[in-house]
Order: sequence, then structure tokens, then C-alpha cells
Amino acid sequence: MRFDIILKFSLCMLFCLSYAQAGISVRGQVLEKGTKIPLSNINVFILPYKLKAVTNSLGEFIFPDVPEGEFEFVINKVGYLRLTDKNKTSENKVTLYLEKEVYDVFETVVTARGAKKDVTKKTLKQKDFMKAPGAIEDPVKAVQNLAGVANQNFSSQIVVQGSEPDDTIYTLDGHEIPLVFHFAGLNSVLNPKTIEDVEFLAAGYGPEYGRALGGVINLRTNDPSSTRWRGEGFIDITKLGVMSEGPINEKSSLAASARVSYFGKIIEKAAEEMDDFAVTAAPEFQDYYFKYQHKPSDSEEFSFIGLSSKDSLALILREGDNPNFEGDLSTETTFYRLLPRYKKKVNDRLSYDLSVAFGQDNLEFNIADQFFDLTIDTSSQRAELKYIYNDKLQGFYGLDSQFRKFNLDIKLPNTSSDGGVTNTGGAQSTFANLEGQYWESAIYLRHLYKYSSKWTLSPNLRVENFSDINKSYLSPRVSTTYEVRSDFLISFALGRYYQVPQNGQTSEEFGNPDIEAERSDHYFINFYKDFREGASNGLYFDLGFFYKKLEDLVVSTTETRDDGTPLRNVNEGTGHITGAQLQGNYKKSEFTFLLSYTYMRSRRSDLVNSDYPSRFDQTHNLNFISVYEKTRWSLSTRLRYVTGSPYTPIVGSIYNSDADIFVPTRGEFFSRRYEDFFQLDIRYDRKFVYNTWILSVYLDIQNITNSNNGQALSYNYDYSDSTPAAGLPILPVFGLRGEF
Amino acid sequence: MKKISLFSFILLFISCGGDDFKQRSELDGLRILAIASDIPETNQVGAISITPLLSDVNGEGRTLNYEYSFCPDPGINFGAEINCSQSLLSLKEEGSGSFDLSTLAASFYTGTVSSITINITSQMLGYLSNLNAQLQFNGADFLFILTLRDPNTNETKTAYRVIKLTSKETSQLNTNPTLGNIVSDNNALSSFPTGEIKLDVSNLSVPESYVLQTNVGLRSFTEDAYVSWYSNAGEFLFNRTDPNEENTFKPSKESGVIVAVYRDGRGGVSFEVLSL
Repeated sequence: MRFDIILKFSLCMLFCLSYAQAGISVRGQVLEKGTKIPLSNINVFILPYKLKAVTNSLGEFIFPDVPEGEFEFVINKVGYLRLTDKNKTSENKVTLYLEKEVYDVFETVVTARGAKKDVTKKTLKQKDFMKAPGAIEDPVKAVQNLAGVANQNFSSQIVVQGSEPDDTIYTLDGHEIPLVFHFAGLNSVLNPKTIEDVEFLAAGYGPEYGRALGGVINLRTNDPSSTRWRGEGFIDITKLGVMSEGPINEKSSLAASARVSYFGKIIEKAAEEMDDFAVTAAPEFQDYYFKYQHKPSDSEEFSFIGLSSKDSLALILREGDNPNFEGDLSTETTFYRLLPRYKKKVNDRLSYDLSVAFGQDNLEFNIADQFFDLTIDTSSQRAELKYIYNDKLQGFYGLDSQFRKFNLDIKLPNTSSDGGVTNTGGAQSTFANLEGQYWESAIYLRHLYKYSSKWTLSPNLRVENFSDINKSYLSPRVSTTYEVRSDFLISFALGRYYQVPQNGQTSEEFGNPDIEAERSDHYFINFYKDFREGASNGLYFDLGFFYKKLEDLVVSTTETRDDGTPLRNVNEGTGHITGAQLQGNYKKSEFTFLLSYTYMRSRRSDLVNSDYPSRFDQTHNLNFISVYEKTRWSLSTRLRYVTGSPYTPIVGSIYNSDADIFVPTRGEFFSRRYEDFFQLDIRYDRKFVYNTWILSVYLDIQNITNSNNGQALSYNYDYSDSTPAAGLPILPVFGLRGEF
Repeated sequence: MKKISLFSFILLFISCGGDDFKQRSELDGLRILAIASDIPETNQVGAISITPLLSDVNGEGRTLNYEYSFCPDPGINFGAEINCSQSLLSLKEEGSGSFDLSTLAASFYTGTVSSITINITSQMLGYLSNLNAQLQFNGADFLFILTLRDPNTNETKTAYRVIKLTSKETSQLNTNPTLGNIVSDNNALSSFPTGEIKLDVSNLSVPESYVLQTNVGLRSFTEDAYVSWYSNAGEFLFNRTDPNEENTFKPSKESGVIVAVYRDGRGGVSFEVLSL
């Protein structure tokens, strides 16, 4: 028996040896199809010889002895389509392209399980916002699908939980930027492919941010690719652009993007057919971005971001239907930011993150002989030190400050916008040339204390100083999470928030230098329940309740000082916002559903009127998204229903003979509502994956039912007649993106 | 200063436009087209003559009651209602009367009605002296508010204008602009146009330069003057034109009235009414 085994083994060895002597070496590399990412640790088989090799970190493999003739490569890898590739032995290197089953999976909102640093935070990943129906691949527009975000037509700002538009700040990696959308709110100022995710912070947000009574939208940039150079070109109905990123060397990488719009030319053409206005310079925007990243070691990182944005427009309002103005109008908005950042992990306990942004904002606005020319030199600084005391306690200690130096040349008619109705005042405009500078500085501390295996407590504090009003404020904030079970969390947050008066409200010429910061107290409780039991399919949801008390709001007044100068505004406004919000996700095989619903009451009081609805008191706000996703295509829909926003009726007008305009007479503040908003969007995505590049095509049809959805009224010259202003009509947006 | 959010402001302008709206230049009811003052800006006690320019093309020469009041601006730029109800009696002047529009029959009931005289009192000038130097120089706004009322239908129309009280030298005071005639190709119209025609106003005075005290000292500006056009018998291409800019008029009737009102943008006004 033993002899028999030895004989068979010897014969086999002899056979194999002779076979090997007859074969040749086969080399190759396994890359992901379309993206060309090298795939490591992949088992590559050669049939029928049952040979096996494993790819290294560069995706390379080698079979030292393959018999001459035809054979077949076979790769089976979870998450990828089975690869079979017939070949002939050759000395040439073989490249095998392994195709992923799914390139992007629509996951909607990411809500991290377990206790989070900020319990109010919701995060939209790039793959979510790139495919969100109705968002036209825009990261910030996709935020409008989240619970607590108000609906706005042609929005250029995000309105959070019944607050005012100016109560939201927009930040890029934590540093404030002056605007987040280009003209008309169709595109944000950054290429979405440069964004890792969008953080949305609302009621009860943590001490890292301030100066916003409503919330924070933070755009977090992604790291440039450090493994390979990749690029893409894209075009849709509004813009086109290019982007590229890749490694410079083993420790450094670079990303760059440029986008320009061309839809202005279309508007220019359309305007030729319209009586209301003539476009003399097409509305256009452009933005440029780069990010350099250097990682000297695993514990150290330096990055440098550059961002610039420009919007411009010129037109003639020639028919005078508008009650307020007519004449030549032009505007140009530019800003840039340079943002170096250094992060270091000193040891297992200590790490820090330092960054500074500096740049300039310019806004020029001209109508007839009126003008508004603002230049702001700005610098902001952030620093955060993290120290892990022990398994139970972590501390975060930070600085968040910004410096502004401005120059404003202005000649504009004095206006009043009480009740949301804008009217120009007398024939006399106010002229001023203002220069100034101010600091808005804050230090904060956050502690994450794990009291028990189930209970995490985060006592936080923010101390702020606003040099503009020469005031300092203490903002205590607390959050806590109790883990009832691993799939059921209860979180609670409360905090105090201050916001310095804006838009010249503290200037001597246009405002009142004696006013103070507006204040808000937030209370937020959230229930998170996950029914998925570890599976990818199933239901999970957040149910939150919020209450915001508003104090010292800046409101206008007709009172004057003893020397006759008008007070203009005072801190006499109050308000309160109450609401509930539900964000539910359900996934079953190829289907994903997202439901976000907000019920809200937002009320205000001022010197004249008490307890009236605010501009964004949208009682019901429902978004329902459904996605059907196959390997290479997906179909998604979004249905939006929002209670019509309140508005102040205009009950008459008085003719201003000097200015040849009519001044509206306001009725009861915000006593009427626009028609409810209803919109259905449909989006189809298709990917064509080739060996070395991917073509993505999408068709995003907004408002497919062509609902009017006008959330404003157009008035005739004397306000005696009005008609609902048309909202966004049915708008098919077609886009192409080629990636290599 | 903190946020840049004027784009929504711009959209406010370009999203306007109900196609069925009546045009601003179309005269088909009771309108107050202008309120002229022989002295738009003053630095002394004295009488001022106020002359309304009315149009009531379908009113058949009715008689309208009027009420007027004159008082310091209650702060309409900051949301105050346009009335004199909160003014001190010593700073306020009120009156009433009636206008007989039948006298305007020959001009399609469009033209000036009898003037109203108001008085700048020493108390009013005293009010000015309580203000700071910048306001004294640039001027305190006093409102002249005129309300017309048809006693039969209760239809009302209200308009106002500003009379500035200032500490400026008399030579620096604003004066009304002047104009010549409504012309086409430099020729006065002898009959109502029968087809599309270019219109202009002759001999417009040149917009004045003026100075304002600002936070950076005295600063010079030039008036932003313009002509407003009205008619009961046709359409204009533009409701307003810059000085010496032609307008295009397309008549819809064989006769009618054409009105050109020349404003200097700071209270000065003059006008021409052409009835053919």
C-alpha cells in the first residue's frame, strides 16, 4: 500500500515536472472595470489546469508555468460579476477588468448607529446626493430632502426648522463661505464630486459651530485619490466642467475641478421673446477648486484647498410692470477661499486639527443709478484638540473665529420689508461709504462621557465674542444618548445660540449700533429605531421633536432718537418654533424608500403684531423618495407636498409721486397662505461600464405634473391686481458624465 | 454685511410679469399722475403751492372731494403707515375741498386741478433745528398726502409727495425741472397719431448736480431724471424713458390724451398734457 502511494506520487511529480518544463509564465493585473482600481487579494484561476494565483497590492499576479495553448481565466469575487476570459499563453502581460455588481448604492440618509459626537447631525454621502431625484446631482439641493428643511422655489438658501434664511450658515470644512448656491439656486458653488459628504446640523447642534440660530450646512471635501489618476468630464443643461485627481507621489495627491455655466445664453435667447426684461449680459457662473494633500506619515496630514466662485448678470427691466423698480440692472458676485489645514495624531490619546481660511468676497449690484458695492476681506481660524482621557471620557477643545474687514459703497432707496412685503420708501436714497472690521471669536469645549455602557453624556460650552456689537455670550449646550437596546437609541440635546445682527443692521447709517445679538434656545429629542437586525434590508427611522424659543430678534421700528435720527431696528422681536420630524428608511432588495415628514409651527411677534406665522411656517412638509436599483440603472422618484407658505396680503396702495411708484398697504401680517406645494420628480440613471472608463447618463425630470407651485404673487404696477408667480415648470434635466 | 443674498432680490424683479396686467401707462380710471410743488425744497417759512395732475378719463367730469395733510415723515422707510395721525398738531396742516373735473373735459378729464396752498411754519423749521447736522443739511422729509374721494361711489385714491425742509443755502435748493413739448421727429404733434410713431419731449432741462452730506463728507450726485408716459388711447413701448430717449407709441383710438411727466428723482416735477 505504501509502495503504491509512493509510486503514484512519483509519477505525478514526473508528470507535473515535464508539464512545467513545457509551460510558460503568464503575468497579469486585475483592475476594477471602469475605474481601473487595482484589486488586491483576488484569487485568479486558470482552467482547465486548476492553477491559482493571488493578486498583490497592485493587483498583479503571476502563473510561473502555464501549458501552452488556450486556457480560461476565471475570477469569482463577492461584489463583482464572475469573470471568464479565454486566452492563449503569451509572454504579454494580461489585464483583466473585473466588473462590480453595483457601482453606487443609494442609501439615502446615513444615520450612524451608536452614540454620535453630535446627536443632531445628519450626513448625506456623495453617492446619496449624486443620485437624489430632484437634486440635479447637487449636494446642497439634496439636503432639501431631509426632514426639517423648508421648501423654497428658486432657493438660494436653506431654511431650517422654521427659522429665517439668514439663520443658516454654510461652511466648507468648517469655514464659513458667503454663499452656497450659484444664481437661482440650481447649482451649489462646489463640484459635487469634490464633496465627501454634507453635514446637516439643526436644533440642538453642538458647540463647534455658532452664529446661526437655525442650523449649519457643512460641506466636507474628500481626499484626492492617492492610488491612481482619474478624471471626468460632465455636461448638463446648465453647465459643463472637468475634474481630475490623483497621486503626485507616494505621500501627496492633488484634485482640481473647473465648471462654467452656459444656460445664460439660453435665457438670453428666451428673453428676446419676452416683454418684461432684456438681458444685456447673460447670467453665468463659474467655479474653480483644487485640493492638495500631503501625508508624511499615518499620523500626520497637511492639505491646502482653493475655491473661487463667480456669478454675474446684467439685464434691463424695461416694461415697468414691477411696482418697485425698472431700469438697468447688473450684478456680480465673486469670492475665493484659500484653506490650509494640518492634522496630527500625536499619540493614542492626543490629536489636533488646525486650519485657517482666508479670502475675499465681492458683491456689486447696480440698478439704474443705485448701487451696492461690497468688498470683504476675510480670515477664519479653527483649531481643535482632542484628548482621550480614558475609555469613558474624551475631551474636545476648540477655537472658532473669523475676522472681517469690509468696504461698502452704497446708494440704495430705503426699504421696508415688514410682513415680507418689500416697498421702497421716499425718492431719496441713502448713500454711504462704510469701512470697518470686526472679529467673531469663540472657544468651545465638548466632553463625551460614557457614563455606562448605555448612557453617553456630552456637556458642552461655547463662549463667543462679537466685536461688532462689543458683546460676549456664554452658550451652554448639552446632549445625551441613552441606548435602550443596540437598535434603539434615545438622544436629547439642548443649547443656547447667538447670532449677531446682519446685513448692516448694526451700522450707524443703515441700522442701530446699539442692538445686540439675537438669541435662541433649542430643545431636541430624538428616537432612533433600527429594525434591520444587522441585515442591509429593513426599516430604520429617526423620530424627533424640537422646540426653539427665539428672543431679542431684530425688528424694525419707526422710533427716532432725540436728534431725529431713526432707530431703524431694535431687539424687540420674539418667536417660538415647535415641530416634529420623521425620517424613515426602508430597503428591500432593489427597492429603497425614504420618507421625511415635518410638522411645524413657527410664530413671531414684533412691536406691532403679535403671534403671527413666520414666513416659513410650513405646517406639513412631506418628501417621499422611492428608488428601484438594478446593476447598471436605477429609477427614482421624489414626491413633495408642503403646506403653502404664509404671506401678507396687500390691501391697497398709495402713490409716491416723487418716485413714480406705488407703496403697498399691508393687511394682517402673514394672514394668508399660498397654494399648497406639490411636486413629483422622476430620475433615471444609467451607467455604461467600459474597461477603462464609465459613462453615466441621467435624466432628472422635475415637476413632471407641471404643478404651478407659485410661492409668491406677482402684482401689477399699483397692486390692484395680482397673479400667482409661476414656480418651477416641468424641467427635464439631462446630464452626461464620463469618468476614467 | 455678513451674507450675500441679493440674488433672490434680483429674482424678485425678473420673476414679475402677469401678461394680462394693465399697463402702468394706460389711463382708464381715476389716477393721480403727479403732485407738483412750486418749491420742492425749502429753507424758510412761507407758502407753498401744490398742484395735482389728475386723470379721470371715464369720470365724465365728476366732482371729487379731497382731503390733504402735511406733516413730518412718520418713518415710512421703516414701515410706518403713510398718514399724519401721529404727528404733533403744531407740525401738521390739514385741509379739504373738492375738485371739479368737468373743467378738464377738453383734455379727456386729464390735467391739473386747482392748487392747494400749504404753509411752512416756524415750528416746522424749528423741528428741523432739533435734528443733527447731517439731517439738517440733507433735509427732513415732510409729507404732503392727498386723498381723493368720489362722494357717490366712495372710490378713493391716495398719493403723497415730499417737501424737504433743509438748512442748505438757497442756491443749493432743488428746483423743478422744465420741459417743452411732446414731439415726434422734433415736430409738435398737430393731430392724434394714426400709426406707430416715435415720441420725445423737447427742451428737457439738464439733470442738476447736488450734494449730500454723507459719513465721508460732502458727496456730489447727479439727478436720475426720467420721463413717465401715459395715454388713454394707445400703448407705449416703454413706460419710462431717459431724458432725450425716444419712446414708441402705438395708438388704439383716433383721439386721446398723451401725458409726459418729467421727474428729477428727488421731488422736482413738470409735465405736458397733449389732448388731440
